[in-house]
Amino acid sequence: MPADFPLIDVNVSLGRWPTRRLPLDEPQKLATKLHSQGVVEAWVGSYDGLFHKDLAGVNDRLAELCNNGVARPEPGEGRGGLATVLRVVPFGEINPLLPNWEADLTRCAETHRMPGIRLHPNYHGYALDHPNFVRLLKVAAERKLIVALAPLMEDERMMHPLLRVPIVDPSPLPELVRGTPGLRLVLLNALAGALRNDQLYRILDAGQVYVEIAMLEGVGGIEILLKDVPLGRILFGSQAPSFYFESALLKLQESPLPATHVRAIAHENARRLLPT
Amino acid sequence: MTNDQTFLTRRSFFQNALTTAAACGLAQRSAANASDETAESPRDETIVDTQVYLGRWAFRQVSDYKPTDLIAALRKNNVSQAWVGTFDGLLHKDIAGANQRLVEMCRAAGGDVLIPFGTVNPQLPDWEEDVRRCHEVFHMSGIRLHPNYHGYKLDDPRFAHVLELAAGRNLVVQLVAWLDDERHSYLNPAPQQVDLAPLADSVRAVRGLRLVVANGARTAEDDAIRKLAQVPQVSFDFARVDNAASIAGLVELVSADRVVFGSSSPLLSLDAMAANLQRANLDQVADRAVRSRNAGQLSSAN
Repeated sequence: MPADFPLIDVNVSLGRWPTRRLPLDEPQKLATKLHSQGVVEAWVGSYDGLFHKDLAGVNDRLAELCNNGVARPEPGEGRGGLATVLRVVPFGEINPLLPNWEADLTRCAETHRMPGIRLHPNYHGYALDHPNFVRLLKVAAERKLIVALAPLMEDERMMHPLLRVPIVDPSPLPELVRGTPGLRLVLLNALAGALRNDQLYRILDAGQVYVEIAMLEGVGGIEILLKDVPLGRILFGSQAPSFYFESALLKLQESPLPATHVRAIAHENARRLLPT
Repeated sequence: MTNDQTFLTRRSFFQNALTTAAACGLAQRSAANASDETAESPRDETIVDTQVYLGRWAFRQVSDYKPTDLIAALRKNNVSQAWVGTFDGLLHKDIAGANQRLVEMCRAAGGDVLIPFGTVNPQLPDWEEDVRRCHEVFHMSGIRLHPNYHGYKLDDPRFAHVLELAAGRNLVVQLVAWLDDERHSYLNPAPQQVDLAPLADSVRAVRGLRLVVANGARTAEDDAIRKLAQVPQVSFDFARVDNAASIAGLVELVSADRVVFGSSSPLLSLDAMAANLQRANLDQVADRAVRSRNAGQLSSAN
């Protein structure tokens, strides 16, 4: 069942996951699926960004996919008649351990006019107290780029023996967020059980920090989450195509929420964060 | 590595460098005289490339990963046929799915240019079924093994069982000893070169086996290669041999009947491999054998 309201999905990726094929790992198939479910805007990164060193090339290809229509749905109305156009918004990958990462950041902001960047510290091998990461947050904030940081991408039971990475330790974040004026930080996949604790709530209290629901689990998940996290900080995210899109959609539908709450999570909060 | 070995390797290096320089000169002279050569020149022979991959390499963007691009690159180098594996076979667990997609890609490319070699991972449950499917369902000529990506050594009893099953089904076995420079790898631990030392004993024990060691031979001084040279069922490609003189050295060590052309394309350069073979300046019979005849004989024995 498609959404009764427009959706902005802030956690979508293009490309191939290296250890398995996914049903929607072709850009147009994915876009068509999102479109059919009522998604009007998708913030997308590239799986290549986790594993490649030539991130300029990765981001160039991502921008091209988003801009040239390959990552657009096949012709047709979105289900429910809500979505007639899917806006695909690229978020470039930055690895602050690579030489010249600041040029990659400049390229994302100025050449591709991306509104944000994505970070995967555990795949790139740095802790959040690394000086380059601290500098990256400051530069991104100065450039008014949204920073989307994924503390994990998949459950460790799913990890290939040769591709095992630890969950990112988020403990330096509260201080960093407080010390970086203007930073807008979106934590992707941060509602997984292992991360959902007081530390997460301290990060959210520290500044403009948002979470999305892709890894939220449990019956009445959003209703329970709202006891700990302000409504204005919750975004809709599916982590498609790694996760079934319908899983995220059902989380919105199975929690008994007022329509105002659903609209806020579905698109209003994201739209405030990234106005058209 | 002992000091003696180090010395020998360095000496070999300089010897090879000098021989390569001489070979380049010969190649230039040969090119200058090309117009004098007959139409049956071995340099006009088409190539069977026994080691090519399709699919996406997860760790960097490589060219020629689509079948159409690959075929264009093959044609440019006068390659008439390629034995093709899939990058998906290295890290995926659904090997049956990876092999199915490989077959579909090869078929879609048309003709008999791309010959699929299915991946088998004996660490996975029911891998024997993957061997059966490669043979009975996909009608493949052979299978490809990646012990360093799949996490087993060549003295593992399951490896011996793979060899027995493949020989029983008359499948060529390609054992890929190395695939990518460990400095490029995001994998932890980075896959190391497969230790080929136990291979000679394993192969001798299996009647009817035809095995190709891919990316295993680097120099003729390698002890494991010298030991394998005594086992007639084993052939070698020269994708990791980085100069023409070493190709000639490998041919001299194991005989021209047991060396096949394998480029490891698109990770390594097919152009460079073809040029190296040209510069090796093998005699006409040996050159033809390496370019295509040996591979043809291996695959036609099915």
